[in-house]
Amino acid sequence: MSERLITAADVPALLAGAEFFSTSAAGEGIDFAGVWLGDVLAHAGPVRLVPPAGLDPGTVCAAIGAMGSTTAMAELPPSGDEPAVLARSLAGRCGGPLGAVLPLNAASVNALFPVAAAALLGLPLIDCDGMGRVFPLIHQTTFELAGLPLAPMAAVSAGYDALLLETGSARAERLARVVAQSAGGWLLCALYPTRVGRLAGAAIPGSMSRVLEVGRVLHAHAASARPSWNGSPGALGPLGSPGAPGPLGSPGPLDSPGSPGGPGLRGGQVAPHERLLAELAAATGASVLGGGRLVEIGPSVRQAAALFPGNPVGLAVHDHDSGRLIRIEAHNELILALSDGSLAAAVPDLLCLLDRGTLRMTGPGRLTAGDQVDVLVVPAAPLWHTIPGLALGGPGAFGFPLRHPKEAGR
Amino acid sequence: MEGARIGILLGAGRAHAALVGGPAGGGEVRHATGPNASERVLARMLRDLAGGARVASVTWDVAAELDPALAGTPVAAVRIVPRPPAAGLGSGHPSPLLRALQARRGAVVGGHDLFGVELAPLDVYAVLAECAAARDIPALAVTASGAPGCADHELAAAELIYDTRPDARVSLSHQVGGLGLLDREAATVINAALLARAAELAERCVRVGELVGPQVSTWFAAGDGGRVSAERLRLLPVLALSASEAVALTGAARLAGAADALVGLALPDALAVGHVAGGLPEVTVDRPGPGGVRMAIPTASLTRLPGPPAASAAAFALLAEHEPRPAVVAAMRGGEAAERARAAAARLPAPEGMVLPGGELAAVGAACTEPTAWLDSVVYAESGEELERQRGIAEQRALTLVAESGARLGSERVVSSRAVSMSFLRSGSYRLMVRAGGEAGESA
Repeated sequence: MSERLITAADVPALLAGAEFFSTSAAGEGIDFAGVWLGDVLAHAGPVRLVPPAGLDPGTVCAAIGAMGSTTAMAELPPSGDEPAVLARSLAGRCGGPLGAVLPLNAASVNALFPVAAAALLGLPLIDCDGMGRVFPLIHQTTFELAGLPLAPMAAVSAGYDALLLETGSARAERLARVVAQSAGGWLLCALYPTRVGRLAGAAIPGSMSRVLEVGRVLHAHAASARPSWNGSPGALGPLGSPGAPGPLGSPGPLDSPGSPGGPGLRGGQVAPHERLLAELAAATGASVLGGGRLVEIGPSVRQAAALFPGNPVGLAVHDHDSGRLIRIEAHNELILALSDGSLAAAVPDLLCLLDRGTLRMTGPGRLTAGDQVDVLVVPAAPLWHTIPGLALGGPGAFGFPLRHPKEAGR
Repeated sequence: MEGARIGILLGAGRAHAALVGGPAGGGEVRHATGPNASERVLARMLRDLAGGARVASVTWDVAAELDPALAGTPVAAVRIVPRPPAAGLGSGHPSPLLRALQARRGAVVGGHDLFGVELAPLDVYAVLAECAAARDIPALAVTASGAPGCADHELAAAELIYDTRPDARVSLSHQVGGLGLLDREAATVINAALLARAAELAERCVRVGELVGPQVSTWFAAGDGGRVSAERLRLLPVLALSASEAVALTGAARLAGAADALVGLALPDALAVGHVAGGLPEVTVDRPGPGGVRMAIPTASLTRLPGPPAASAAAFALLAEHEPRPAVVAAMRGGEAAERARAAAARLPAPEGMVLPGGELAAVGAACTEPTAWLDSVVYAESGEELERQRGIAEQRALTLVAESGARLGSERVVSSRAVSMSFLRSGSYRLMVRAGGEAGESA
């Protein structure tokens, strides 16, 4: 990993990658954050993205992340003062001023807000994070697994309510969640203050680079599927924008003579979603669990775990190729998938839904029965597949009395 | 009133009209095209098209006439938030269109949260100061955080503005768009910029309707595939943007005789694909509008299948294969578009899926529009019963809006009603999205 700059031109890719790693639900409606970040970068200049090894191990750093509702954030966007408030709050509590920041989790808005914080504070952004995805609780992190203390934790609302918490991880989560609810629905937090030298083995390396890489793949495909409005008069003028030949014209990785009867192959053409799936698999190690029509979506019969915000949601996808029914349980994020009743994938691995129509990641908030989606499973960072990792972020942590497929073999 | 319906699309100096349900009744469709000239010329073209038949309504697709890049006037944007952006940071918009329309950006303290709880009292002195600073700007766009849940601060700001600037044209965000302050603000700015142009257009179109015949009602196609009155167009011109795409979808389905369909609109360079259900296009609120600006307003959900005709045909066939609704392909033009349509239709199981409109699809769709309404709100419900009660209230509000938009009594219906669990808010937080429609009571 080497140092690079994140500029306003990277925002579309950053946004698309952030959606991907949000495991669907938490990535919906975050476009506002791209608009906001683009303006911040245009004013404050680019951000240095550096690997931990590129900084002095004694540099004081802290994770930056928002907690709360992305819908609330969209309705009440940051003022731009928040990072400075957080830095002031932590100064003197962690052995010196902040010399760098890193994402709490490089996914959803938390792949974007730390970039803005780095730009506004004039600090480098460290290319790693503590989740590699979205988890609902702020202490469901690899930092926690490594024994780094979450507190002192500074938090600030878009209404400028500020607090500093000196307490244990689980207590910090509970207290901050209550404040977020009353302060407009979200807080920006600086937590896990530490030294850069302690990140080795505690953080997931290369997280931001991965978001950008995956985002570029997604952005390129979604742009070809999006009708552009050019305001030209006449019927359907807006749709008739000139464009380069799309991704359908040439053979792709799935379009091989060896698989003539393969799914989606039509006369030598590869369906757009299949080409995208192949590229996503190459970039992330993802596998496709199945794809087809969403036949059911609604409140889950499962009772909500009191610890978590939000409400459980159930989805069912009819896999066109195998005829299997893929049931997905969601609670903020997608938690697990059952294929014809058998556990096929579960947290901490990422479950993501791709909308075949828009070639964009999607989730329960956007979907209605009848939509066509593909279900992807992305392996979580190896730290999450350890016994402590699965205890903190596996199915059991979400109230499911199930063993993760990785545990089943132990 | 019973009678034929006319749809008319204005743009590029031409007027394209379609009459649906003419003297022969039933599914007859006739087309006419002429210059987008004086009111008398347009009225004569429409009377000739009617051929003596009674005309019940004329519905105008004026999306091209409302291009904000051409017709927009300068706007002062006033944002009401608990903490104004530091040195304006993060309040800029990447769209050149929006930057061009905003002659001034200001922010004052105030606003509510998603549930309508006040986060900061409105700074009335700051509103007056913004008003004074924008005295040379003809239109103002006021956007408060949380306005979809509680519009008090926007309404109070509007009163202050009108007190000092009775001549100002003011748009309030809670009347314009749904959740998401930046998207709603963008829509409100564009709306404010179009108010003067919309008033001119509405007046002109109503006069043409009066010349066509007595008791001819005048309507305007909306981006969600429905229609709005002249009065509503004057207040909310932004609703008419992107109408052409929406009514082209419904026009294609109508010509194919399908109320529900997967529709492919063949263009020279791509196939644009959407769905029609119950005669209305499926909509989304996150599709970019003019200048690539997202506006938190429902517009037809469309996906491009680009590439050579054979490639887009293959992709469309794949979608159609798993689609319970019939697939329809409509050629928007001759030449390359027609070739693309034929390639797509050749791969469909039913040959009747090919539509050759013989005129402007959007005009056909405009003629067939019906009143619609859309609500997007956040509620808190501790139980399933409470959620259903709140959903019922929202649905009744939507049905009332449809009735107010001219639907025949008893024809109002809920088209879709969704309660989406909101992530990372306290358990019991839901976003309600309700779409309703009705029938205008005219023949078609």
